[in-house]
Amino acid sequence: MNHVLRVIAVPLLVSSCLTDLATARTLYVVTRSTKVFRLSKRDFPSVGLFATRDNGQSWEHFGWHYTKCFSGATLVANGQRVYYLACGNGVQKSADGGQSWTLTTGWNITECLKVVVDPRDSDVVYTASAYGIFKSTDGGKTWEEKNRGLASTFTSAVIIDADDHETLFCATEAGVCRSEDSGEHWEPIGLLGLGVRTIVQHPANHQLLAVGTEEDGVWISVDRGASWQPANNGLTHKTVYTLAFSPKNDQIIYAGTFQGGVFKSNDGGASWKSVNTGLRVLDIHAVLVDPDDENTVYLGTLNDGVWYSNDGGSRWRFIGLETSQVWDMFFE
Amino acid sequence: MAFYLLAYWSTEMTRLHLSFWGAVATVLVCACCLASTAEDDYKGRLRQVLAWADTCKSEGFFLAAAKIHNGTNREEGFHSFSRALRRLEKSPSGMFDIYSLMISYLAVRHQLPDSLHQQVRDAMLTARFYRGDTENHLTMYYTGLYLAAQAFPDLPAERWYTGKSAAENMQEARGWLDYWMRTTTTIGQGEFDSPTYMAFFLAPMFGLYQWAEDPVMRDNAKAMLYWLIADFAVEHLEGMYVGAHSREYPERLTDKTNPASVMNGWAWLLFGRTPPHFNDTLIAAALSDFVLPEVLYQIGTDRSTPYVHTETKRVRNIIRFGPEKNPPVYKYTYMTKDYALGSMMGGGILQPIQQHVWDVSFVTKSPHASIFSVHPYIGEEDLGMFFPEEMKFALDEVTRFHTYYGSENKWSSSSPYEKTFQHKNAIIVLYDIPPGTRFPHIDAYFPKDLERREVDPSGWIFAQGGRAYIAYFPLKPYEWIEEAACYRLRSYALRNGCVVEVAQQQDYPSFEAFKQRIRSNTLVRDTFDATATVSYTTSGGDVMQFAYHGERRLNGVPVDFSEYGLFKGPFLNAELGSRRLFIQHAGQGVVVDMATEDRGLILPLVSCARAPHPPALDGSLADPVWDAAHPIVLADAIQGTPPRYRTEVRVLYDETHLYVGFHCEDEYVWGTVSKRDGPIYEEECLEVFLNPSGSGHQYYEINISPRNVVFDACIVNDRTPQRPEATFKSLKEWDAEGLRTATRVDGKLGAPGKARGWTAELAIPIAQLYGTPHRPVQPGDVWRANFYRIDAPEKKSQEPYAWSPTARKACHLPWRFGYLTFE
Repeated sequence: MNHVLRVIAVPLLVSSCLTDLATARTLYVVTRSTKVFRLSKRDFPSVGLFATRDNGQSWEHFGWHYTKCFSGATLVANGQRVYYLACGNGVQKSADGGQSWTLTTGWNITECLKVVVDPRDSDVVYTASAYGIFKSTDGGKTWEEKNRGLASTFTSAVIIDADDHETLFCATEAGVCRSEDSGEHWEPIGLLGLGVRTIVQHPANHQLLAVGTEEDGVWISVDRGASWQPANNGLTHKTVYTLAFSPKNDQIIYAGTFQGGVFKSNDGGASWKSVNTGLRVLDIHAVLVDPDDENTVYLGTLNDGVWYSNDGGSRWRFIGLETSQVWDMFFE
Repeated sequence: MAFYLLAYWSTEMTRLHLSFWGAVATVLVCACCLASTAEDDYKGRLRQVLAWADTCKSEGFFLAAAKIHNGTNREEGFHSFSRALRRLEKSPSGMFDIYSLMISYLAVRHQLPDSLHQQVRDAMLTARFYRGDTENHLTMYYTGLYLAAQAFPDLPAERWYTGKSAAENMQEARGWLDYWMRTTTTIGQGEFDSPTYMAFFLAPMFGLYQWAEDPVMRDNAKAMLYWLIADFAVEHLEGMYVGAHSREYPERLTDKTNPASVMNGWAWLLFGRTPPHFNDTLIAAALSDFVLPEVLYQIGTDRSTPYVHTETKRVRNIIRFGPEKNPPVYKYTYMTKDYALGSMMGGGILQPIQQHVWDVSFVTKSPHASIFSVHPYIGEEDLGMFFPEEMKFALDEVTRFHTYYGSENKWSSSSPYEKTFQHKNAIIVLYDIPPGTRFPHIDAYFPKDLERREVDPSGWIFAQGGRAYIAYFPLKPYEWIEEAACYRLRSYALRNGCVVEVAQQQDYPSFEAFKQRIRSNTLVRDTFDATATVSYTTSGGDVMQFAYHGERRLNGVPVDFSEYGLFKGPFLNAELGSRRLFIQHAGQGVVVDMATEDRGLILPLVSCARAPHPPALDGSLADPVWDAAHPIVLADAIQGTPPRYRTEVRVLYDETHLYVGFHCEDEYVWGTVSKRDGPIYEEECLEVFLNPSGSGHQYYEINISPRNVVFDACIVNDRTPQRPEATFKSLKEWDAEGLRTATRVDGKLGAPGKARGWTAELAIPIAQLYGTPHRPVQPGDVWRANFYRIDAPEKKSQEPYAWSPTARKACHLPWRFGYLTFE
């Protein structure tokens, strides 16, 4: 039967020390492709949305196996777990815990790179796409383009301000933009002309924002986007695809780069150190810090699956999805 | 045969609701009457495709369907179909699968066992077809989804892989198909003229034409088939898709017979100029009743006169690093029977990794049939412009899957540092590569099996490919690298380029004469290093000045790309944004009209020849001057099917008159009305509807009976495509003053079975017609017109014929008139 949750046996290259990885938290991993993916080939591993509840000892796959996915989001609505996936085909949704899926968008909303759900209104969903920002106010039934004022319609990421759900921040190909009216109007607020790949807000210190860029490293704002400062001391690789704050410590930041692996800052971005011990590839597209344990960190690599550290990045261990291009990760 | 109430034309009150097939069929009728060889040959090749499928060991829905259709190997076809379905469940499936599945399924569904029906229904949930991200992907995908939604309207949302209902799937599919058709006919295809991918637009359109139940979609698909085949035909030369291409793979560019260039198969199927090339996409045509129009066959094969053809296409969706989403691409092709020189002008990156900017392709027995140059560019930006993935990583990934992309030796490339300027048989190609570019050289491809390749002390390289003489002047020093099938001309200067002129062997008494002529041509390149500017005077005496960072000037006049039109040339013409394509050859053709109604129309076109002298008007059509006219044949006025009797119409003009001659076969010619402007349309008559202004709201109707009685009127008409049932008035007080007419009955008037036909001649004074584009008429003027015949085999019945069928029981629908173009 289609769409049902399947248990996938994933070969693990690292078989030792798995017992110390146990956690109750479900980790979701969104993969775009695999190193050997090609539609014209008939045998290759699945791609899409995966979950593990035991730090990679087993993985479950949800939904389509062969569509390129870039990011995901999950929430519980009406007692059912809801998933959204931002995909090349558009935004997919499951409202029944992954049993069945709907491609919510039509032919004209494609290349969706990020999807976020308003935590205060689960019917409000935004997706950042190669064609701009699209918004749904009915849980994905209908979508509207929200591009007025954007510096560029190529948008890599969008986030909802933790204090004010009408305020959005958006990473575009030509800088950071902000909307204070739920996407109706946008204004550029920094890094004009720079390709911005990711934007994050500290879960506790909401004044603190950070962005990763295509060529210009990390920039940080301590005043909720009003001003931005480069934060690249020690960051030897300036193509930054992903950033993650430690939820409990706003001085700890992880940066995932292209070909430079992971960098960690313990001083709010004032300086960075490479923390790549154990990694086999250095193309990082997702970093996730456990909200309860700042030393527990997950990495999503491009073409080498998911990696884990329980010592704040001092050493990384492979935990699964071999050859996968991990684009995004999130917790339940 | 349909019979209609008396006075059908004047009342138009009782209407039939008919699906529209008529206008299109007119062309077929005309083609039938002119010649059936091309159509018969095409049908023969379709049979060859089906026969090949029976013997083909490969698998796939098309092949399985063909086996089932043929009936000779039906059980194997069922098994093959089932295996293909099972593969969908176990492995990735996508756009290539869903469209071929649905076309194949619909073609043989009445022969399938119940188990296979169920498997196909189940596949709508289990297969999870990937849509893809290119224009051909989406066209295939949505064709498949459209046909699937039509086939399984009762499947609820939870039984579809999309999670949407059949109606929602249908709506989404129609949305893309409408968008793609509108865009293609307005600003051109983004994935254009690809020897590989054009097939994946054609095959879906054959499927929609054949299997869409909605007549609007069927008509649209048929119109797009005309459009796409015409687009291919005009750049087809002896099996080759010549000119510049948006996308093609290197190994296919250097081997013009490579079967992976799927259009090689379509070239054979449509035009039959090569040995058979089979591929499974051809089965979509073989399972269809589409008939190749004679005019398209002629355009694809008539190379008797060299011609220039220009086009505007567009860049694939640019998602970043560009000011426009779809900037225009300007194409130029010079075609002869021996070679074609084609290029894209404008410069810049048009497509990621696979664009082919220029070449000269020549007719030869060798598969290595072209010369071209390329800058093997590789960069993040050309990927980032079109793909949403991380650019630096995408570079690695594309290089992994398309290994040639990362090669300095690649023959297919999208370089931002390459520009061309072509005029007829000459082209200047310039490169200005910035320092630090990864592959800082240009390569030119010279097949090893050229008849000649000579390096001349003058600096020119002279070559002969087939019957084409080719002169290539490298602007900078170079070296030859011998490879398996070619000599690679490599040059490392960053500011670089070449000048190329091509000629037919027949143009010169000898190869030496060609060389001598080229050597004597003026090539100014003194300031090239400083200004990247070159000037070349062609053998035809035209001066081409090209500044890489400036203008292209021809004989001192800047080239204006806005004159290129969507199509412009002797065979195809369409204004940008018009959604109307004029297709003509030898005075006959059609207009594909996607703009007027909510569906594609195919309206007839005839070229009106200038009369060397006024024809003698004696009613007989005996004056040889009528031979100058291109004969047109009338069809059933609604359906467009062949009528009971043949009716031929000829039209000529001069400074003062439009001359119209009718020749009607008939066994019973009759008429009773004797008074001018009497109701001759209630009996037998011939009708000329002229709308010189093209407005459709005011035009002229001039009718004549076998008794040479005239009815003429000025028509004011409030009808539009949106209000086809609005009113119109016949202002009979208008008379075409100076009108001269004559008729002649071959046999006995008014006696059933006692006649063989009748003829009529009209000399219509143009001065009496208001709204003509020019007075006197000028070559190139276009009028809208229709010609009708009311045949009444019995006195209480009428059978209306028309040149351009109206698809309704009405003749006063001026947007359905044909096109009269003046020579």
